[in-house]
Amino acid sequence: MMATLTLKQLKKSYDQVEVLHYIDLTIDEGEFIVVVGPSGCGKSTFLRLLAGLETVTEGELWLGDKNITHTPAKSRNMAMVFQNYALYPHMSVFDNMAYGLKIRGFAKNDIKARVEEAAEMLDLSHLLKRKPRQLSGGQRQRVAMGRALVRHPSVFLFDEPLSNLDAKLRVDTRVKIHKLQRRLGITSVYVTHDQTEAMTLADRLIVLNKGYVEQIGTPLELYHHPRTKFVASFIGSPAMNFIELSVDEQRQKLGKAVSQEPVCVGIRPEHFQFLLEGQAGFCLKARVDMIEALGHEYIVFSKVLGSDEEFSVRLKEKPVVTEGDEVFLYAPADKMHFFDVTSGVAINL
Amino acid sequence: MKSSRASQYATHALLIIGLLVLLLPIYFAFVASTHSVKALLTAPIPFWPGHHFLSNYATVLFHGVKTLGGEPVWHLLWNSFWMAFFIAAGKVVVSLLSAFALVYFRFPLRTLGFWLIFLTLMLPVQVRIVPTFQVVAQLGMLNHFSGLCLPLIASATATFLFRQFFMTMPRELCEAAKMDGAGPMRFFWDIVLPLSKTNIAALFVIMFVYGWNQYLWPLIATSSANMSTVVMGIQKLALAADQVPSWDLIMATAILALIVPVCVMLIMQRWFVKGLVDTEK
Repeated sequence: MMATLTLKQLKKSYDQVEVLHYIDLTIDEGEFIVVVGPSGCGKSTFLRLLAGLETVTEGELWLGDKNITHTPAKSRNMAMVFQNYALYPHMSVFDNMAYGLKIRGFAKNDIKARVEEAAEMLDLSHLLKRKPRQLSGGQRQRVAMGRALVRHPSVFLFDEPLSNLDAKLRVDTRVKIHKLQRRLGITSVYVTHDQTEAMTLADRLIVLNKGYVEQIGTPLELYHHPRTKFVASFIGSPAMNFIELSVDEQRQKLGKAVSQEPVCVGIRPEHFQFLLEGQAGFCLKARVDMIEALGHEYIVFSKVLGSDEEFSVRLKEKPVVTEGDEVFLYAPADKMHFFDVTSGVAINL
Repeated sequence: MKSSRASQYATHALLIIGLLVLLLPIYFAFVASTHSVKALLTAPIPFWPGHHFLSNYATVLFHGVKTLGGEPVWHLLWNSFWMAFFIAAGKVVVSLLSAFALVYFRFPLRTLGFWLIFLTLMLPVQVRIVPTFQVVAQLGMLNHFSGLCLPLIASATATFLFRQFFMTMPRELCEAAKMDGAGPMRFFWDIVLPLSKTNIAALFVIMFVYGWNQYLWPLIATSSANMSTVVMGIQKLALAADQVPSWDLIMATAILALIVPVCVMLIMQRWFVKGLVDTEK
């Protein structure tokens, strides 16, 4: 079955509250889509709509050439990995993985073969007899993955599957999921609030904000060409720095008026340079507040004099400045992003 | 937590005193059941078991006593056991299903339904006993097991407890089962039921004792001697008119009436205790 997922004007509301607003999207077969956004942006609801765990209020949902808008969850041939894994506590690892197959009436030896294959892939073979409570967090997560894998679904749905793991395990598992998805080529939709996961896993990213799609595109597209201030601030860590410039300030600092109204200028932390003396162009006088040394990079937080803005600057080398120093922050013109102050929409020059 | 030696002694002393307070009446009942009536009616009451153990128990168990309509107590125990069993089992089944419906399904007037069930908690059996009797009589279920058990198998308490338990189970469990292709009853059977095992055991024991101790309802719903229960039997024995109550036989019956619930309790104890203290899910 073709596993292209098509969303047509998909909308979800609870009573009067609109949770998702008219989403149009086509997810190609084998594509890895990551949905990001702050808590409460509707990303979990989005996933649950695809899964069939929530009913669609308006619009249509197609899988291949089949309209599945009102198909019950069990007939959609999708598998989901839950944030808390939702393993059946009274069943062994084997039975947890086999349950879906048993219900669908697979033959005993077929079930065994599939479960063992998945267990092999996920390094679970020696744990098949254990109960979930005898497993570590990472192992449970893998069982949850296995339960989804054995079904050979047309679509994988991931609901923040890594958020209960510690940092190191999260990275390992992230890489594993990535490799697995590439190898199996199963269409996947992955919901997270972690932007590292989003950037590294996604073929295409969807940024959701308050139920609206802010932007859809490849991670680098979103990074380099954010269409709104929200996307710009959400993607990248530390977040993009913003400062508002009046028309006069624009003339003074940018050499020309970008707009006939005040604009919001956005500059990524890695695009700043420290200067000891001011120079023409976009140059701000600031005092260094704090320096975070991460080993491979340094983050310098400094306050722009005469405003409340705090800017972060990312440096590859140990900075020559120290806390309390007054310095100039300089950014080249081609690294700047401009946004409309009221609507937050990007202004392209 | 480490406790000092002194506090350990104190704890044990308290436990032993409590045990004595609880066991002494039972011990005296047992002693009384091993003497002849005569010995019991002369002061002082005997403190040690007598020689009539076998004859007293054989009389009540197998031969029957005249005031009981000659019904042997084993038959009363048999009746009591099945009544208690059906009441307990019925209560568990009915309340499991209704709690399942209340928690996992959305239907009109769901909350109202829950509150109505909850409200009946406040109505004791005695309040609705007359209308219940009328219904049971009109259905022709008097002097029959169905009449004894059916009116008692709905339980608001049990429904409420199961509801609370189901609500502590993560919602994702239900959703995972849905994604795995399980329908509602499949989910109930494969997931909910095994996870409620300990709760079921605990409730079963409590409800079995409740059923076993039923007195008023069996007294009203049955009139023939071969349907009477052991609790009724004790009362009938004590009511012997124009003669000295045979306390030895009464006590023997009481001891026998004690044994069955204790056995059920012992058999279910492992799960029962787990059900009351366990939080593992």
